[in-house]
Amino acid sequence: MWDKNIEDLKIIQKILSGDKNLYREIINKYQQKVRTYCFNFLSDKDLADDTAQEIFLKAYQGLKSFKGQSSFSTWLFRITFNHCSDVLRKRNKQNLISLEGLIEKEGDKIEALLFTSEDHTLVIEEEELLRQLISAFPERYRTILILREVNELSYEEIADILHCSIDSVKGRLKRARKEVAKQVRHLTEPINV
Amino acid sequence: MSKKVEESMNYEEIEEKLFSLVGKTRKADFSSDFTDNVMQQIYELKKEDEKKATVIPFKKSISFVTITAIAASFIFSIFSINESISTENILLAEVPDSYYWAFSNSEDSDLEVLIGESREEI
Repeated sequence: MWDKNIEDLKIIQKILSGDKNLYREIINKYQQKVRTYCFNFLSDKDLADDTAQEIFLKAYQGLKSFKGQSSFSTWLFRITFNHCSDVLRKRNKQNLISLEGLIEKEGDKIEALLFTSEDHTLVIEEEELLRQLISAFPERYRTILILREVNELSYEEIADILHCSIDSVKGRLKRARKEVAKQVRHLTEPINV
Repeated sequence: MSKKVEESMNYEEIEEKLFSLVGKTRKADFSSDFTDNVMQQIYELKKEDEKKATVIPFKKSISFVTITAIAASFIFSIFSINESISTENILLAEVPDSYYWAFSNSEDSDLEVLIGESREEI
């Protein structure tokens, strides 16, 4: 990880010296992670790509303020999750579906997914449903769940991004997973008459 | 259907399965178009900066002293207006070129601006 950071720092220094075309390398290297986060956080492909573009533009404009105290990847992810939260706040919340609403609407399909075998390969519709499910997670849990479960970042990286300890990341992640699982289970329980 | 979950899966199992499924979702595909789009915006950003710099050269348009003087006089006017409206409803202010300005917001009229060569004329 440290070697990668040195490599990034060298590229950034060259960009700041005037070789702006090298920023292409940075975008190529990180676009999948950033776009994956945006897509899962916002659950709208076009909006996610627009947001990801804004993030890379913002990072380029703020490159001078990157001091190398954390890795570039961490710095970029901080911009990513802050910007995604801003976009979500500005977006008309009427368009967003709550976790309860989604489970009520798609409960049977979600439940069917829970009973698939371990080696089950997701079809496009199932992936779409899972993305909707992730983006319906309460916002306080969504960031940490996407960073860990989708982007597969280490606890250390997440702690750096969220400015907290590794123990805190583990604790928050545990609570987030339990809370979401609880809601999925609770809302699929049969109604006793 | 729901009963099946109730009977055969506990919280831990649901949690494990749910997040193993989430982990299976595909990551975004690499897109060279995406990179090109961002780079295009960066080039345009540069052009825009250059354009701004050539269209409005600060030194040629107006001096710093002039801007400061205008700003100071404007701020002073605003403060004076607020104060006079709340107390005497009228303000007389002398301006550098010997003209007088008066602002009035008496109860039977809207805010008026009067300009004259002397207090008497206003």
